[in-house]
Amino acid sequence: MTIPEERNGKVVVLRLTGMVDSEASRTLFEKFTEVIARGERYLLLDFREVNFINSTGLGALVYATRKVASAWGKLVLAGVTEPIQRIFKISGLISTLSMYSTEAAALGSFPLTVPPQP
Amino acid sequence: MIEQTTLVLKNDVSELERVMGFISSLSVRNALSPDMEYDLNLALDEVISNIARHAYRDGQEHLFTVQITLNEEEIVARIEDDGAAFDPTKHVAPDLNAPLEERKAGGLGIHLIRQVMDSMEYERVAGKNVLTLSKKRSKETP
Repeated sequence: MTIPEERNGKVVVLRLTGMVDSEASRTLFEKFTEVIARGERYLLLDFREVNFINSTGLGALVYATRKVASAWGKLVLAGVTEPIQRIFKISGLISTLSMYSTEAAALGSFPLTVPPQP
Repeated sequence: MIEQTTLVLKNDVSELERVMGFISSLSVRNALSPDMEYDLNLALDEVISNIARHAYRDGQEHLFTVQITLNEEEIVARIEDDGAAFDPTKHVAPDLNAPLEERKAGGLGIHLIRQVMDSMEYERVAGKNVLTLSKKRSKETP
């Protein structure tokens, strides 16, 4: 899986596609680590084209959400499809992940200022 | 019985692609619902990933089998490996109410299998782990 990255103001947008399985999750972990290490604090994951996620993928989401939250940042998901929402629900993550139906709504959820670097 | 297939797999996560390809064609042939296809893929992904990562500790290539049986009532997956004994039915469920900062990254796989399948049974037979997962077709959503 390649993860195209775009910037929209202070927000880094990562576009995920296809299956977030064990192999893809490793790429996702590496991408999160790289993005967070260079000081990005606002992450938006475009989930419209994701059609599968397993426990390793969920683990990557938990890792990144926790990591940016500890630096006063925020991670949100946009366009999560119904099958993936079902997996979030049964994994107990549905209430702890921030999700928006559209990218515009997700972008609008970020604060106006970027938190200071730790 | 409508169909039964046994896949012989190497202890490598790259084998998942082959398994998912098989589930996809099985789903098309038998008009399984998208949810049923997803759930089978998820359960087998979690089991096979566990075997590939943890069952064999000698760094060598090993083979194990996944037998999938489909009939009018249910679909059954029987996974047999001769790796280290591991009974997933004894695995303690993660605390899903724990706040995010207390969640461990991982530990969810077996919980997901329990949720998406109707039953999960384990036996250790003649030095092999035999895990049987089943799901009723009547629970399929159109």
